[in-house]
Amino acid sequence: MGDKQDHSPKKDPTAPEGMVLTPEQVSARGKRNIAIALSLLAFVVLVFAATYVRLSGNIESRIKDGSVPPSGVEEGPTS
Amino acid sequence: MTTAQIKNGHPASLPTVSEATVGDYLALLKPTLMSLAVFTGLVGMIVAPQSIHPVIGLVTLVCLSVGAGAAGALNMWYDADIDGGMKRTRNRPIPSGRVAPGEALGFGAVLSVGSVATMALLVNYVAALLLALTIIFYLFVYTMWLKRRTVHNTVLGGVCGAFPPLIGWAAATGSISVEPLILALLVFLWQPPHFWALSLYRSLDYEKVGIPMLPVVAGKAATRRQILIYALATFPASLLPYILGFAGEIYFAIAFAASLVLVFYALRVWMTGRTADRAMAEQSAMVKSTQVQADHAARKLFRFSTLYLFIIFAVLLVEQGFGLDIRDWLTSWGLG
Repeated sequence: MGDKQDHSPKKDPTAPEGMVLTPEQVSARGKRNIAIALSLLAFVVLVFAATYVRLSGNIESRIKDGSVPPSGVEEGPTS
Repeated sequence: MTTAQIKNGHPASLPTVSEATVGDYLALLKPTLMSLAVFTGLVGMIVAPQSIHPVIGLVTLVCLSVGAGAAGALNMWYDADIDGGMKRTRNRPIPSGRVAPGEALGFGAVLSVGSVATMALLVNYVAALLLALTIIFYLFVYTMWLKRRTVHNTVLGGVCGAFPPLIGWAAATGSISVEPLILALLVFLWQPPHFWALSLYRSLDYEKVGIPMLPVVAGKAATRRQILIYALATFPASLLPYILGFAGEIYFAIAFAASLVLVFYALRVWMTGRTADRAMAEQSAMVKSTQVQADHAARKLFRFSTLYLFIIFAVLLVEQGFGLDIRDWLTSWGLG
């Protein structure tokens, strides 16, 4: 059995492995990454602010109910 | 490996890298529809009798805009085939090849789930449920079922456009009552004349891709008649907020005047259309000019109807948000 001839194009030994991005693709990817980062940051700030508001509201209503003293520290049982 | 499998010196089996810009992803969210949802949702929130904390109000509007935008992205993913065949939509990100369909699907799905979950966790379950219903209705009922099958797609699809005022109200109160339903009714009745006016001068586009819009199925004359009927129905509906006591005299005066103008434009569409049809039937030399006039009238109605809804909701927002009362003004001018 003779060796099969290799018809595949010859690889350039100096070419980098894998995919090489065009400058447009690099630029578009960079801008998308920045947009994702800013969106995630905005989301974290929004969740933090909303949690703060809701927790403050709950504590205030519990103080009004009398279930929590105004100091915010519940007194333990006296011995 | 053959040369056909090689692209830019790399095997075609390797994943391609997107060149989509941030603007393409924003376009997927249908910013115009998104702004309509945010604006009507804001009015629903402001008109509600219970005040909402500004931060929670902001979270509501963000969730509403992202949820509405996500529904738009899912709609563009499903309708990419017909969007590519229409002049108005062929430059959208998917048919133009800037965003892959799978990317749009993933983007829309993640934002849909994220917006509903955030609304449920940070606002309340009623508002989250209504937002989920809006997205489900827009994607499964309107886009996948009604749009390509029935001539009633515009009217029935209008249900999802009517949801945002309900969501805004529910975010503030945690429930639903008559007032937001009136606002929803107003948006619901406003939509058919608005979209049918557009379809009157874009009917060839819809016909080409086989969308059964009213002018394609029933003809332009029937569409003009329906536009007039819906504009006439919008008139009393626009006055209901005043009649039911959640809008004042300023709203009544402006809504009355704006609704009169809306009916006037709808009437002009009907009359110019009749003239065009008559010229066509008589094979008159005026066919082209009358047709141009009819299309012009439809464009004018489309433009005014956009302004109309903005005026109606903006007046409610200013009047209720800032507590304006014409009686206070009359008193301050010594007329009360």
